Amino acid sequence: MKRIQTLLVFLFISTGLLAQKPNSFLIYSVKGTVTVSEDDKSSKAQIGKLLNDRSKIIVGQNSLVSIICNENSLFSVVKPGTYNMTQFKDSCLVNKSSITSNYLKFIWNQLTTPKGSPEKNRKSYMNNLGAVSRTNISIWVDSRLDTINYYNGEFPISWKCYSDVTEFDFQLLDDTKPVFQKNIKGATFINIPDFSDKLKINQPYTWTLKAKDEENTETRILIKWDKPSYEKLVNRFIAAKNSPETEAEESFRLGFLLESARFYSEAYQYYKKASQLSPDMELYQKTLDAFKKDYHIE
Amino acid sequence: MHHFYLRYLYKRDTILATLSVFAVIWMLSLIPLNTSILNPFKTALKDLDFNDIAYSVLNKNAGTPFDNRIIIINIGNADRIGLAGMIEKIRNAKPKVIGLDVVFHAAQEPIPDSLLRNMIQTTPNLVMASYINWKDKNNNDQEKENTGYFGAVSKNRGYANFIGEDGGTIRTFSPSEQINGKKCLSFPIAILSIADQELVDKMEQRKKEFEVINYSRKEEQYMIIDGAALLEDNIAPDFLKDKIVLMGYINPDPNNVEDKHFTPMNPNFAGKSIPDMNGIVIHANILSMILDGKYIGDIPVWLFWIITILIAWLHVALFMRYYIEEHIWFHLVAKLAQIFFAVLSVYIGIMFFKWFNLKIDTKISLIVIILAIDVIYFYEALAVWLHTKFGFITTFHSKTH
Repeated sequence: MKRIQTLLVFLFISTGLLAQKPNSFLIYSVKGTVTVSEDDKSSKAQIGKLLNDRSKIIVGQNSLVSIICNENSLFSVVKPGTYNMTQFKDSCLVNKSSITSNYLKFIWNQLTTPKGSPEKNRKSYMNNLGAVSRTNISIWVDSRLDTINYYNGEFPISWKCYSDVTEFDFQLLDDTKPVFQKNIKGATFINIPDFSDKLKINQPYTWTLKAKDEENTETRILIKWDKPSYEKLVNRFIAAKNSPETEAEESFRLGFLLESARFYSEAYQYYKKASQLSPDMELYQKTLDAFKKDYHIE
Repeated sequence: MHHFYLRYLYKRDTILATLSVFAVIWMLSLIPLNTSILNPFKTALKDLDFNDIAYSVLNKNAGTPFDNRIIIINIGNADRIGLAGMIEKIRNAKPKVIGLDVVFHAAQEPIPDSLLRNMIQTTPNLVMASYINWKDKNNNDQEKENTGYFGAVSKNRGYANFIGEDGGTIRTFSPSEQINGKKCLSFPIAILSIADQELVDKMEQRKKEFEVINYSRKEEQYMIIDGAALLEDNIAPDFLKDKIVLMGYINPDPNNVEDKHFTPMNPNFAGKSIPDMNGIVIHANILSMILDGKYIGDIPVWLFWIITILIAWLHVALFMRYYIEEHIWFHLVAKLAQIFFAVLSVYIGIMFFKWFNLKIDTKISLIVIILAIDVIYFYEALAVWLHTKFGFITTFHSKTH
């Protein structure tokens, strides 16, 4: 009897210890400035470094770190800030249905699958197409819109469609979860302010388009920047001037640099400003016209 | 022999036990649930046809010569301008018919689209591939033929659908379908209707809703020309004249499975494998079959059931004899008989398939023989109960163990 009691106590303690097993984190990828702090010592985050519950990571502006928890789940942190690894314990949870439940679901699905054979009901078995398929996407999106950085202002995400389709489905996704969807009829653009309130700051979203009866286009990225980060970037551009310049020249240069940095909405404002400040400058007007034409700005 | 075996043939118990086997099969078929998952034997046989062994193991069509009536042009990854160029080159060579086995889902850039559209419109002997979209398989009103982006300008079309489980082996095809009151031809039949309408008429006289494909050739037994060679004028001018030219995608890389399907020619006739034949080669095999008039026939249903009942009857008689007279040997004899018959029936089936192009489904007779033993046990209990209650006369009453 005593032996059984000892065994039960041992099992109870073991189970308790196993339940409290600390999570282990592995740095999988790093972009930008990411620092690891362990036992009050800071070091640069490196791919392959193991972290534990007591570790901290400091994510800088425009940086990203991807972490694998318990060799199982992958998550990324893009928001700047300092994080204790214990904050990420929810990301370590893996949704595991029990084997019994999965087995019963499988059996039920099999039992309720209609009986039949190709010979008895050929129509149900004619889904094998003996032809190669070519292109089920008639939408064309400018490759410059692959990534859009956005702070504020009006800017349309636009596309071309080579078919007669006039109805499109726009979808904004957070990871794989849709956060905004809109059916667009008779137009080939959607203004970012129409859904910008759904965007969380500094979080990458993906967007995709679909014409009726077609497949989704490739996903593209949209990131809404916070005010301090955006202003810091603009100030850096302003400070980068080599020689004295007029306000119009500065606006034009900022427009160019922001367009290169994929801040299209903001670049448009600066191109417009440059053109208004120096209406006689042909380069500014032509650049503005080309920008409007390229991005289908009315 | 009479003493040994045949005397049990005409016993009432043997006949009733045989009928019980079929009664059990009939009752099992009435269960609305799909119980195949609980039966590993049935699950394993789901996509298995013993006739496949004729192709994959016994090389049914080994040594079949090249089919020089059909030329396949491998379009590779050619774009619409490339395809338009290939069609132009082919039609200049005056083939009987051209089959373009590509489904174009949507518009692309205007210039290539316009070029290809013009080429399709001005080539009267070009057949385009389409597909039947069975949205609601039980509601015929929902059926429609998807003709693709160039459907409106193509005069000749044929659906490229085959019959088979999703990801399963392609053994049959449907020559034509009625869709919303309109007769639609399958891709190879639409091609043949231009090349040789007489052959299509002959096939239609067979009045079959579906035809078993008599695979005669693998990819390497057809003349396959690379599309690039065609565009570069590396083909002799008369090579394509009066031929059936099929334009389709072929990738010799076994790991590239785009438009590849499982066929009975697959070296692995059962179990996990990779698809072995491109859709265009399956269409070519269908064409070869019709051109040669070598259809796969099947025995009439009534004859099939008579043979199956006869097989069951002979086996039940044998099992009954050992069950009643020498029970100690019953299981051994039953198992040996099952193995012997399994090997023999598959062999007979394959030989009929090879020599006479006649397909016999030997699976049912195998199932019948497997069930027979269990049914004899059940029948014994029933017969004894009937004897006790109603004085039913049975051999089991006095002699069994």
